[in-house]
Amino acid sequence: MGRNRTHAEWQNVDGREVRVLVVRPRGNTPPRTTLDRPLLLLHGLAGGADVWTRTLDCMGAQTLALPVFAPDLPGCGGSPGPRAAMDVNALADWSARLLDALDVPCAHVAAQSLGCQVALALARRHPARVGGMTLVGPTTGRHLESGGRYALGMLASFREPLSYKWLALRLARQMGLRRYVATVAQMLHDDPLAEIQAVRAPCLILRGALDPIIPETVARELAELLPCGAFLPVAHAAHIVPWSQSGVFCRISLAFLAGASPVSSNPQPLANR
Amino acid sequence: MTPKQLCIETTRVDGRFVRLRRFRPDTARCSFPTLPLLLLHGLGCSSDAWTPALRALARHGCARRVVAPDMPGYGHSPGPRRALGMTELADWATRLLDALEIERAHLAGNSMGCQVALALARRHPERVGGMVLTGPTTGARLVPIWRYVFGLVVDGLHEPIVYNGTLFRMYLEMGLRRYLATAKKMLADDPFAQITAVQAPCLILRGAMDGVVPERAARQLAESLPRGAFSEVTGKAHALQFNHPTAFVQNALGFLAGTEAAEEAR
Repeated sequence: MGRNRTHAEWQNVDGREVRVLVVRPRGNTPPRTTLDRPLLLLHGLAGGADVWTRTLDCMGAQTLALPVFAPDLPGCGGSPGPRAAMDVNALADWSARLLDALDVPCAHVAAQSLGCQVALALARRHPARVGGMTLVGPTTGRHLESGGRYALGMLASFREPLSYKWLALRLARQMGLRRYVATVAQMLHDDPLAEIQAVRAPCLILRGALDPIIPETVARELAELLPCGAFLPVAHAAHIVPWSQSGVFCRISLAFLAGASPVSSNPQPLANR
Repeated sequence: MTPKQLCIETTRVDGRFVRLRRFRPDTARCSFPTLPLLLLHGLGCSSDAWTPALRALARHGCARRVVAPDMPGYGHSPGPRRALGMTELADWATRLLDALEIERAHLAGNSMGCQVALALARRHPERVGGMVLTGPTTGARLVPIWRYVFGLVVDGLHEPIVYNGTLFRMYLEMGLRRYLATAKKMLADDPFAQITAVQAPCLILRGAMDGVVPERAARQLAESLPRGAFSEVTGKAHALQFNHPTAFVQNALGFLAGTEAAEEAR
């Protein structure tokens, strides 16, 4: 059985090296699941591409026809960043430049936590670059969730698996306290609901049913306000669905993106006998 | 799971009783205008083939109504003496939707139910949202009769014992005469004939160990459909909705949410 391996690549964006975990299609193995555009995975606050490793393994097992990219956002994981923490819009513009570097004109986006705010900003500011979106555990920001509620949720997030807690500690240390605090400020200052009507991409909001950070009302409100939004709960999962329930996340996301694509393949009628 | 969300009901179509399994979501969860989902079982089966899938839908907090009927002559629904063909079953399904006051629905089929769903989407496109076809049979055009017979036997070896037991009971309910007559009509039906008339987005799901439907036929169907997508589930056999209901439900709910979001985008 063909299983595509995840490997790390380095790209250059704005003169800085970016570490990108990639699953590329393998030669002649037919894809086991339809995907009509490359997929970009955006991690959350104090995260890194490593948060997506389990998801990438699942995607690899599906031998997709197109690549899946999971970058370390600047200043996170293995990617160096500018000294000042970047705000959400700057991260969105950076993601568009990353797509340029990867030579991808238009990608589907799956994002998690803070990455969702970046994905929404990307869809708003560069609508031609985004096909469909799957947002997991969105999102904080003005009008949606206060800093106090966010802090409480973080304190209550003991439901994540132990393996994730170790990873999160390592990634938070790589990010550094100064950058962490500055990014939290930017994240809470961002307003995902402003110009939400400009987000024309079909968008699935996923939320772990046990997510202590993002209340269900917030996730539902976002889905209802999005012009093309849908909402699905994920049972038995907390905030980090792509880590704790990576198989479920892969199945739902790939199915959603297949359903959201207007035309998925070229019809080839069988010749009449 | 809330048991009261799942129930068995009867209704009347063409003056005959029809047994239905229904799933009704919490009304509080239904903030979105979602289309109901109609589940169409396969040859010799009944709505019993969908019970694990219905339970999984309840567990996953599905926010749409789901209806799984016994088609006429199957399970507990009486049918006319003669066996019904694919187009007749498709027309019957639209009359069932009328009886349930459902204007438009998503369809999910298993095995022969997929040919019924495709006929329905071809003949009454205005009644169909999206489709999820699990282990779709494709008539005798791509797969010869002996291959289906051989496949049924091989597939039985990969299915769980519980499913084989259920299948045997459902076969007894249908009876051999009707089974053979329907099988003949199923093989005569050609879903590829007017495939471009099926404009509904369609996900073809196939268990990788499916003995009945060859991978080539399932892929060919996905490629021939104007809006077809394909997905394979590792290590599972023909009755995917029974032996891996969560994979079926996650694929179906994700895909149907996608079709609805894309419709809003247009």
